[in-house]
Amino acid sequence: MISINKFELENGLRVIVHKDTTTPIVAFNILYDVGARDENENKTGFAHLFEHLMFGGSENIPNYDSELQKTGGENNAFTTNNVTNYYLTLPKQNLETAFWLESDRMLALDFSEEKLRIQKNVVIEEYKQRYLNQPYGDVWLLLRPLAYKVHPYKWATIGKNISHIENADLNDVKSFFYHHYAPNNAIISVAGDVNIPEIERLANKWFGKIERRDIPLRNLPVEPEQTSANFLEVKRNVPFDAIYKAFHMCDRKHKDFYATDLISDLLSNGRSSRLNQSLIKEKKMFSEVNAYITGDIDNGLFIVTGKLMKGIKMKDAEHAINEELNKLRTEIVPDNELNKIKNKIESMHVFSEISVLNKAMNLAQHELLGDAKNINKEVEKYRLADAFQIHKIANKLFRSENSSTLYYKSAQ
Amino acid sequence: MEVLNRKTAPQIKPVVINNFQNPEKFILENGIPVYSFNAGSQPVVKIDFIFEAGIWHQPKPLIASTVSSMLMEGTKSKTSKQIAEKLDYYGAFLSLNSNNDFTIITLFSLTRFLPKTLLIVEDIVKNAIFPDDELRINLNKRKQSFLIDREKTNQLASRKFLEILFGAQHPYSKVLQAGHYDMVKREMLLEFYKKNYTLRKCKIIASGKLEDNFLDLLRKSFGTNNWGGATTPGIYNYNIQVNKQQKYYIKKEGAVQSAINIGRVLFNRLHPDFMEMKFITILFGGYFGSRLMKNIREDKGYTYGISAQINSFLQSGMMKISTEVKTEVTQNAVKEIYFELDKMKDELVSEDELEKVKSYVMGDLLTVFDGPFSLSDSFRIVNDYNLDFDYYKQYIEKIKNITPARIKELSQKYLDKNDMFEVIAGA
Repeated sequence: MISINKFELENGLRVIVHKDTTTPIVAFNILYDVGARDENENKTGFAHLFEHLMFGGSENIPNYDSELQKTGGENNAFTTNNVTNYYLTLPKQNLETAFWLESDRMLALDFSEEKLRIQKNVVIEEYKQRYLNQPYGDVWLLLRPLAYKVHPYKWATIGKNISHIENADLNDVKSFFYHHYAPNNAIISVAGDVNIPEIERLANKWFGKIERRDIPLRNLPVEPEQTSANFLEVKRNVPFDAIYKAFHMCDRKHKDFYATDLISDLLSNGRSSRLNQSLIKEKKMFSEVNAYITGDIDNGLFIVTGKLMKGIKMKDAEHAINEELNKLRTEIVPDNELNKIKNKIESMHVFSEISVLNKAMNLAQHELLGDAKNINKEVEKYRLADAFQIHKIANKLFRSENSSTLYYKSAQ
Repeated sequence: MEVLNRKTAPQIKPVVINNFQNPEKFILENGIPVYSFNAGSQPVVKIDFIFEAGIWHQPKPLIASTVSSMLMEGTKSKTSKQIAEKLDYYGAFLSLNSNNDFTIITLFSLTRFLPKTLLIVEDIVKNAIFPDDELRINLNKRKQSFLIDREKTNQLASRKFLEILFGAQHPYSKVLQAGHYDMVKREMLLEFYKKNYTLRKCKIIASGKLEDNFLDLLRKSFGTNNWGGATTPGIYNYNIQVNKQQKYYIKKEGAVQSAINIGRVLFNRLHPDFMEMKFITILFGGYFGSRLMKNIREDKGYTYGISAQINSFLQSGMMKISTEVKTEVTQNAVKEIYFELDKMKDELVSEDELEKVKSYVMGDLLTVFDGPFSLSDSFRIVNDYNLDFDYYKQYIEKIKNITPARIKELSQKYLDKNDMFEVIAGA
């Protein structure tokens, strides 16, 4: 259990405060409710490109990073298909600098053609470094459009292709800013040795006067239920075959979410998990296997993936995976196995609460999903999921017509 | 009504660190030193078991890492699966890591399960048997990931870089071929295990919420009798082979970026210039606002990232600049890196920049106190050299007193481009 306080400014900005007196570092996190899913299909990669531009200076502060470094602080940010998240850690006595920096770039960013040109180049190199110049790097560029036909999750955060980034212009940038960056579209969370009235004072002082902006209502196309299996085979210059299977699952707020996540843990969390023991150790068919959920806010994906041992046929490998998935549809998970997984989740949760930065990020996420205070109910929600619910969900999840399968074959 | 002045930064209060407190130290009856930081608010512990059993001590490639990664794959009384089941049941994590000089076994456990989880560590440290079947699985898996890594330009560059820096025969060069995975035999592992996983080569660092019984538990598992084989002191002695050729190019068909490594052999933490060189490396390429980042990423847009780092090993050390850049601008990027190196030795750093980096480094040092695990990690890094937190106090003094002239002087001594080795991997 961690202590949580929250308040909202008149302009709609939500602020979460968590007090932790054991560290001299304070974490300041600001989440904007905008991600790649909010992009125009013909201008993808924009939320992420924009995240880069946010470091190009604001109206009153030409150099964001430099001002933060002077306080002894550090920062970074990430963009997902769901949100854009900025985070800072700094010595607690200099916390006000975080309010100053973040409020100024929320108020007015300093746009310029030159900065845009440079950051386009940087992002294009990021695209190459992460997706093109890595073995298996383009998997998500293939898997997303295979699994999603309508919903914007069909493109990756980095964008559908490089030309979308190349073609971004300054007007797009400005319009994106004023449509998505606003106090009423953001959540701040602060964790560390802080006092709550002081945070209220700082929030009002620096963010209080920033006016609300009109945020377009999110109205995303709903992915229709999949009715037949999707399949794609590609050949790439990689040393070993790999297989990827994606199944549509529920959204983050759905009551089945926790049980679904438990299924992925049963399959591959820890060395004793099912896929590790059966596919790597006993059958010796894979060098790596993994099962996980994307954890997206809208209907997400349940992923099962593996790299094949040399000499193993793709069909046999897929069959072995399917056998393990089918076991979950036909047999009830034994109590001790389920307990083991729940213990593991509880332990991971406790470990995640060691770092103030982690806590600040998680609090903002939970607030976005409904209420920051739910962070303290997470473990309980996993504990409540039972073997019958898991059985039922597995049957819904692991149907062939709900699957997208990618054969990623070695051309070597 | 207060008018907000957004142009002026809130007043900055400098970071002062004066609470470096060394851990409590105990010596178990059989001589194993135990350092402990009882701190933090969460009911968790982290215990490092550190053995002098690194790559330096291995007779053949891969032995140190294979032994550590096989510890959990079977003991005299338990199968790999039973060990895994137990650890997972208690929600514990074990990380097994061999570096140039040491092997570190780290247990992460909920405090209340420590009596159980510690027994698992005891078992794998004393009774591992390295079953043949598990060994084959382990080697095949790792061989495949090695072959995948070999497709990455940054891996190609960094492997070659180490090879030319230290010489192929030197353990720190970590020269490896796929064939080495086929040459590892169970007997070699057993011998290495017997020789190196012994109480005389072991120390323990614990942190987190430690209960009163914690020392008793350690005593029972590790402290009473004489365990492990007889240790003969390390007889390995290697010299760095100075390579004649300084520039290498590795062709990688189809690569859309080039990986660049530039750097040199330097020295380790014990050298009198190490602390200042660490500071200089940060200014040059060790943080987001560094010289290299400003020029090559933020000004030219050649790369997603570039960094410089300084590494300390027990027997040596090195400085390395690394980046991945757009293929077409490879030579321009290299030119700019040398330009920045020259600038370090030709020009004085401005007071403004110096103050900024000093503040940044002090803030970074403050993270030593960000939680119990961070405390113990920071201690472990210096304790490898038989140093303690006094080291950080001296570092702070050095940083406070470093001047632009001193930076220039040291850069002339150690950052001369003529002393640099260069590896580029790309199309």
